[in-house]
Amino acid sequence: MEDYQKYLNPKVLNKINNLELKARLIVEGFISGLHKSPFHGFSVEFAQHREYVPGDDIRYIDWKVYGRSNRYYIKEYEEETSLTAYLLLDSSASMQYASEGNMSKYDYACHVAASIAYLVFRQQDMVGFCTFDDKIQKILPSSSNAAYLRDIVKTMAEVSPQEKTDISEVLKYVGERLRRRGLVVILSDFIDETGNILAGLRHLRHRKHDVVIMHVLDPDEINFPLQKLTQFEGLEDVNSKVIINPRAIRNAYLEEINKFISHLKSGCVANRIDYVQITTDQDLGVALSAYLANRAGRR
Amino acid sequence: MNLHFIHANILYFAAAGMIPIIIHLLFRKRYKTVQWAAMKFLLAAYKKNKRSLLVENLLLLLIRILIIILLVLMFARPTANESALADIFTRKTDHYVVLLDNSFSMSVRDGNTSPLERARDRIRKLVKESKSGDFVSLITMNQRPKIVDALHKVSAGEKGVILQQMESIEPSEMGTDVVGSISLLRDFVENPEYGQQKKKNKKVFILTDLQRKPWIAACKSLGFMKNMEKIGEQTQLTMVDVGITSDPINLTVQSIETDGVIGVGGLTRFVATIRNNSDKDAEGIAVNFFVNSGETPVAKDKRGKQGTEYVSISAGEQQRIPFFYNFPKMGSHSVTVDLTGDNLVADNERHLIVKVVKHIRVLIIDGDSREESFESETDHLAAAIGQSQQSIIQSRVVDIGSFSSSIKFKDYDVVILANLQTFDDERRFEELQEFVRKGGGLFMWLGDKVPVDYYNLEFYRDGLGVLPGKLAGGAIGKASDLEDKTTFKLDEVKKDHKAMRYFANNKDLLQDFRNYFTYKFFPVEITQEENDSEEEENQNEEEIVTVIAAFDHPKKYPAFIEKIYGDGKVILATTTVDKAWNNLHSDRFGYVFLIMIHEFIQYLVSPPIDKNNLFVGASIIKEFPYYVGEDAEVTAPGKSPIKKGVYPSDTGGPPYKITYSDTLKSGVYHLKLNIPEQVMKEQEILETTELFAVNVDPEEGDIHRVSQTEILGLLDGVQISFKTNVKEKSNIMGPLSDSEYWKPMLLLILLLSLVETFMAMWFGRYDK
Repeated sequence: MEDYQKYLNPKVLNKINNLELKARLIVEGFISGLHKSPFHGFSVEFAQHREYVPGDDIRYIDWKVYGRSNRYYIKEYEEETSLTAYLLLDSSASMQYASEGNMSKYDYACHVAASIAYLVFRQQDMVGFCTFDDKIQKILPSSSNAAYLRDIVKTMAEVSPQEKTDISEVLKYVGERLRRRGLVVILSDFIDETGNILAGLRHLRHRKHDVVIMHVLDPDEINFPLQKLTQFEGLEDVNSKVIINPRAIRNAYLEEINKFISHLKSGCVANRIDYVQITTDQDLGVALSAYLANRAGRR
Repeated sequence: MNLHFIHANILYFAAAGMIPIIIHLLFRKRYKTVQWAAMKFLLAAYKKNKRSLLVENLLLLLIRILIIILLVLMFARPTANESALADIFTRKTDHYVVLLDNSFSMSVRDGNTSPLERARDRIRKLVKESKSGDFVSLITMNQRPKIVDALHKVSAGEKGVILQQMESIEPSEMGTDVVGSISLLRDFVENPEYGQQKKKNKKVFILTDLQRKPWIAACKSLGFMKNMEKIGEQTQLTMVDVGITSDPINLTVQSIETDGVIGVGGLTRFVATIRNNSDKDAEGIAVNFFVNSGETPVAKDKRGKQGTEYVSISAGEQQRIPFFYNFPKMGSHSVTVDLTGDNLVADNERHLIVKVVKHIRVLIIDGDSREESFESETDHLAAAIGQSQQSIIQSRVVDIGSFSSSIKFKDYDVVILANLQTFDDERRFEELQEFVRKGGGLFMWLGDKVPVDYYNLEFYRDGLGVLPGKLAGGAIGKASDLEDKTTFKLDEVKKDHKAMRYFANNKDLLQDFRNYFTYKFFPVEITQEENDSEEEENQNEEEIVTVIAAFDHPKKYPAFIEKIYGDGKVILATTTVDKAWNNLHSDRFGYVFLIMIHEFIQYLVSPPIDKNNLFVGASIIKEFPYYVGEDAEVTAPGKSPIKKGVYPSDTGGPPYKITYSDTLKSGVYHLKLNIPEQVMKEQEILETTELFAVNVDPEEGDIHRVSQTEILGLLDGVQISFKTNVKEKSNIMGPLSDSEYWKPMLLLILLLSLVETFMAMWFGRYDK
């Protein structure tokens, strides 16, 4: 089973055309690596307390109850059967960017989304999916049917990123549409005004959704290693062009982008939103780890 | 700055300085295009850094251009003299102090140029090659050294102003006062107002023709040598010889002289002395004689000679040329002598102002009158003066017994006292004193009637009176026919005294003047030290006593003593004017007496200081004992009349005074007074215009030069460099050697390259 782990490398995955297959390979490879995983199952919720008997794992003793009653009780859980994960995938033009040797941010985000969907289906939970730019492009209602993954992957393939991003409006729209409380995973480069982004996220939080944002960036965007004189053209605004010697403004650029990331991150923390920064040269396992860590944290 | 290139053709490659610009422009077109997602951050960063990026780019571009241009310049091998480029690299601010000799010897022509022109040329170069921020000071060197421009800061647009000031320095007609000029230069150099700042590099240039006499004389002065040493210690002192090395011909009208007082209608003899101040013989030089200049040359003498004489004078020699003239009118007249045909014009003309009088009026007061012929004290004297109406001296003899109040001293030019005991009216002493003070002449002879104490009291007055010395007791010697006479001769005769001029030129006469016998005389003590005539000229208005001749007595008692008293003169003869105490009236010595009386009387009427014949630069000062109006008119040669105020004098002399100092041009100056008619009548003034002659110093006409070796020898101990008058290219003040400057340029290029690398790194160009 360890052979599956090689599929966590984006460069390897890039060679496989079937995204559904790739998602399965990623998840299987990922799970096979979790030998000493602290997680004891997915989608579990608290059921009841029972008195401790020798042989029970002391890690499950509820110390708060002990504090009140001076007696040992064990927390018992039962499987949750109705988790709904909503996957929101940014398909704006800026997601097209791919530095040399890496897949585009959109492709990478598709892999992450498909993998999470596969993982969720594997737990018998429900998955909803939509792509967006400045508005909702494609939307698939939630379902727990594993065959539904194919529809998701097919939708991903049909979308061609080309418009501007307007996350705020999209999130408000999504917030209004999702009646059932669930987990909202947003995969985007978040190239928009920070204020707008946080406003949209707050709206989701207001609707009692758990929110995880996966900030997908190309390594070039956070390292800016370009050397030669370059004409930069905006992916979302084709009229925006500038010829610069990248070395001359590298520091200033990094300062700007780091300021943005920091601002976004602190906004997420303030709203109890999980922020995960992933770059397109990272193993996909990182993204899945982040997702699982979120789930574990909510137990 | 005079910059030259050994390989000037390489300079065309300086156009390669465009290469960085071209590369920059080409590279602006060679870029790759990237479609960028995070454009928002890129544009924000670009906007923030746009200005500094532009400045950094331009700075680097300029440095790269400069490096290429300097490389080209270096390969072209620049050369410049030390004082030019070296100063750029050392970043010194220079202070050029120029002492420009503009005495008239600097005007001697040598073809189309003169020492002054050469000096100007040097200063033009100096100013042209001075850097912005340097200072230039100009001082003229002559008898009135002057700071023309104390401290002129050079800036790019202001060089013309300095040059204008330099060009405005005209050749003066004054002589050279080396000692005074160097003294002023030292004061200037040491004056903190004129740039003692540490960073300044003071360079003093003395531009002179090195005229021999003044420089040799100056080098003998301890003060001058001290000043030169101090200047040499504090500055970079350079002497620039701009003199002419060829041997130009220069003749100088050395002097114009005349004999005694000039009377109307008499033939007056003038002697012009012409000196050949060069090392070549001068031939066929035309010497002209003028009276009241502007008129055509007049006849020189009664033998019908022309007003122009052609003379030939050997090198270094002088020639006396006589002229004669008969003045038909009284008053001031100008006499001018000029010559043509040499290389220095300024000393070719000389003027003399003479006063033509109708008579010299002499009052003789006889203190021992007798009825017998030639027994009275003054009989011989009156006979010697003569009574001819044609004679210029007209005398009147008055017996002291009949000396009435109607006789006024002021009606005479000269008063002669002969063996006078006293005046009946004591006010006469005061009158006589006032008469002399205002310019009258007093000739005093003593005798047996003279009361010693009374003379000392009334005439000597402890040195404040008219008597030149104190009578030190009774007469010495025996004069009676019956006694065994002791004889005294004249031992010491001051030949150069103006009263003795006629004697000095006649050996036999002088010998007889020494040899006549005096049997008896009054010993006279002189409390004031004897002064020679040169000092006498310099001590205006002071009372000066001069022994004209002394006896061969062991105590050298004087025989004739002169005292300048105010504007007048007194001569005291310590013996008698008659034959009682001497043999002046013997057959052998009678002619000596005759000549002496005439010469002394003429001398007594001439003013002690010739205020009408001056040197260039000396002020015209005229004092009046009466009101002469408030305004006068002064007409300088070649100029229009200007008004000049007459002011009350505060010197204790005559109450009215006029001073005119702008006498920097030689020639005849006219002073016209506006005297009220009433004053003219009262004072019996006949003419209201007075003439003044202003002449150059004839010594300046000696253009012989001191050699470089000699002057350097004389200036031993002075830190001074010497530049000769050569015309090498790129020399400011002399033949400085050119130096190549490729090495400092290479250093500069390397330095710039380092700066470029450092800046590029600093700006993040190579930041990985």
